[in-house]
Amino acid sequence: MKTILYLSSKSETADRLEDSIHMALPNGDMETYHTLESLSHRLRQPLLGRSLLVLLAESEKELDAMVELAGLLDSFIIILVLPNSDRLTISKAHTLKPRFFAIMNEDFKDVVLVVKNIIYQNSDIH
Amino acid sequence: MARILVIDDDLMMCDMLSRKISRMGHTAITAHNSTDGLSLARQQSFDIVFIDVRLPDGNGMDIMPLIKQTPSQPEIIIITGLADPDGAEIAIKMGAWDYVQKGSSLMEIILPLTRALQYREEKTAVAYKVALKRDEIVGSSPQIKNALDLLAQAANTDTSVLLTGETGSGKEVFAGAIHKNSPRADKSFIIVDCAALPEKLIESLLFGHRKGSFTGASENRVGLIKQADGGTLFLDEVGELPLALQKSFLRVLQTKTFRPIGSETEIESDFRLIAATNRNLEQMVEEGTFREDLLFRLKSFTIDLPPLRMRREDIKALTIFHTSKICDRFQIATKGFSPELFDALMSFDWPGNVRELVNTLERAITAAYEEPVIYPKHLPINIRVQIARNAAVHDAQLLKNHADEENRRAAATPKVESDSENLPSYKDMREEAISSAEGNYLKKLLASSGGNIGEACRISELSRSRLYSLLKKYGLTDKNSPEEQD
Repeated sequence: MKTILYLSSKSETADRLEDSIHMALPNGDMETYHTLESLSHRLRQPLLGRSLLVLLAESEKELDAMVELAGLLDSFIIILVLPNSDRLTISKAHTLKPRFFAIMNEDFKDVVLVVKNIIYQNSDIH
Repeated sequence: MARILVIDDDLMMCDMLSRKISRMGHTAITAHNSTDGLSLARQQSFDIVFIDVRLPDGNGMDIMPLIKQTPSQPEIIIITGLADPDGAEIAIKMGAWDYVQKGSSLMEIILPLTRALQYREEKTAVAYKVALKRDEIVGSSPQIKNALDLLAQAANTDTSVLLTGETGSGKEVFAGAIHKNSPRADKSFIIVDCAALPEKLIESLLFGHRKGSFTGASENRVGLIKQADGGTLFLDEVGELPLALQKSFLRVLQTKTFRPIGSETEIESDFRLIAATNRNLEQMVEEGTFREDLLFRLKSFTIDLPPLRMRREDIKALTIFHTSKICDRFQIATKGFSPELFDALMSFDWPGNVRELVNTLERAITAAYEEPVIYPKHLPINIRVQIARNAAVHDAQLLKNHADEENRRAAATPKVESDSENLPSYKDMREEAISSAEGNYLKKLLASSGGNIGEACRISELSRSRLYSLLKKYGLTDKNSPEEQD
């Protein structure tokens, strides 16, 4: 199963998340993108199977931009990291139908657990 | 074909109505008290429910509002042994279609049934055409139409829905479509993937927690149940919900209240539940891994999604729809299809269902990237191998069937002697064949004329003397001869 990671900046949060995903997938098939344009371009290429998409939205604006891409995301298993836990933010996040979401000021231990679990659950599918 | 429930303790009435309903081409199911009747109405879909007023465990009119609220929202016809005007008025005011006395002829009971079915058919057709947003549900097979009918019914109510079906059969798409067609469409659709979430996380994610309530709870967190307030909670892979949590979740379903971890206060959430599973929950109940009371609650309205191999006629429409969607995503011109491609796709069993078909199409489009038409050669090698194997098995079976048929025919046909010395002369063969045919004909003639010679002459167009001569020749003028009966 392929994993695609999106982190827009080189912030401390982005570094922590990237480290956490690497920890969850030490030998995994992973690609990382740093702009929504490059991510969007990748999503328009063949993926050949179900893939996991981990998206870090460090601001409301970035989350809005991700929601604009929703049409390209519907075949992915999505894990979202959100800028805050405001009701509106979470409500917006649910339009992307994430399997799990975390808040960016949390440690990402739960994200690691969920990624490992999803990879395990999907390891025998096609 | 409509489904009709008859709730009456009068067994003779039940039997009479059931037989009449069956003769009309519908399905009749009976219950003999209000508890069983209500339970059936909650578990299954019905178009019409007949309810007797006097039932052993109470007044049938009392369960009428409850039955009207069940997902299929059936029309109710009250039947009573002793009609009274006040009762009739109450029944009609409570929303009954009609109020009929049992003493009436069966036709007088059936007439309102026919009218109610007509009304319901028209109502369903209009609602279906006008309102249903199908989303990505593609196909027109009877199986998918049936599932869509149930989807339309489920969307119009607030009851819990259980979606069952194999992996990749579209349970999440159906759940989304129920939400989008429901009055909660403008509120959140919250997915809880019980298979994706580790057991130790599910409870705090569902119920939420207070800061400091356990190690790692550094902030307050609103649970997914509360996030679904006003909207729909979709519990995917519900069979994976930990047993320990099933009891707490059942309580939430019953009361629509819960207490976040570490909180002293109960909070409310008005959510509609849709659950999905590819597991056999009944079997899990028997094995002790799923709670029976939770299953009972979940399956109040069940939609069983057909596997793709059971609706092969939809494969062409699905292929066209998803190819267009994938090409749109790739920003390339959509592809054409060779007729052989559809034959190949339709001969495959698709164990991964629609999801596997979509993945296969993506691979085929990738393989045919520059070419305008997709051929079977563009399909992934594992699929082509399987298709070829299936075709070989199919051909071998056809050959075997043909050979078996030939052998059967050969065994049934008398052997032709190859020894020329045993062949009769042409004249002898001809006379024998004629004699055999004449004898058989005369026996049949006597049987069909009842032994009446006049009638036999009329049918055979033989003269009376010629007929007697023939009957004598073939020994058919015994003591029960036609002469005596003529």
